[in-house]
Amino acid sequence: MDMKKWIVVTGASSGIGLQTARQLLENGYCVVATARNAQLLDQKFTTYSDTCIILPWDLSDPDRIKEYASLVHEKAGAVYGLIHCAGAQKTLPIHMLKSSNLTELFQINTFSGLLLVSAFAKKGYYMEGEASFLLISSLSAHEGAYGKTAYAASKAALEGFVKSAAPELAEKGIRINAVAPGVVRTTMVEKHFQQLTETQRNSTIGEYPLGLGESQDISNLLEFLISDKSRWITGQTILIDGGHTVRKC
Amino acid sequence: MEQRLLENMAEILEVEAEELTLDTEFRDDRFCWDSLKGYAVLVMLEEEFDAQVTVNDFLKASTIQDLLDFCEQ
Repeated sequence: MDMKKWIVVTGASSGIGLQTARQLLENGYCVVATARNAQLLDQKFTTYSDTCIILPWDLSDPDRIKEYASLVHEKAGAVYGLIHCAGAQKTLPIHMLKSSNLTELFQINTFSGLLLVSAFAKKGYYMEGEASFLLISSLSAHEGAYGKTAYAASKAALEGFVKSAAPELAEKGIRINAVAPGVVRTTMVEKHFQQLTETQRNSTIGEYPLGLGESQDISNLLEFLISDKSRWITGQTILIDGGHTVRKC
Repeated sequence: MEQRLLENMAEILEVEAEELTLDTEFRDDRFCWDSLKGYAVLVMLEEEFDAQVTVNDFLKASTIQDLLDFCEQ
């Protein structure tokens, strides 16, 4: 890799974001690692002093996304890619939904993703003809995800955005895609599993012909989609689910 | 704390708080009990009362008094 290719990775302190950021760094990319927890980011990325910019930020405040993007631009110049892994999950019976739940989920899962794309699509903020933006959706947006109505809606909104954004961004030489994973073993998922019975856990695991996913399964796909090996793919939502949607019924 | 728990349980069970007492068996058929309501109770206990209840302990609980006991520990 001749010139530095900076990739913004949000949600970089844990799970898919952490695995993705590390994998990109190991494979020669430069990463702007962002999450809310500055201490955790320092722990995870201090060894990458030349190729990693640690930039703690709370992306759930939509009014400060432009400020964040300006800071990235100041430190790293035009970015090669953006991978928005930051997100939250909520399981709640539909009759208990409140606007505060929706606001919380949509701000971090949806609005921040859309506004990050908007901010980095500004001239000078992206590497022309090469940039790739990726949003993390969820299988929940594609099936009857019981108890996850608000979460599924927040992720489905990203996918609608990706389709419409693709032609507009193509004119700037930017590709945009979404990745919709099934259940992946992350801290967030393990926490959710702790609140299930053994029967419920086994039922979930049994619905994945290839077993539950690992963060590296997702980071491998993200690395492909961020690179020019996927130069002819844009506007797509790619499901990666261990065979869940085609399981024996 | 007791009143707050009854109000939170009323919301999950879709009844008025006045219909519930500490002796109420929350898994009763009249509440159309299911795993999602169970999950909601566990999350509510943690978020509203800072009570970390394991699934195994929760499965042993049958009344709202049992849930209050978790909150008071």
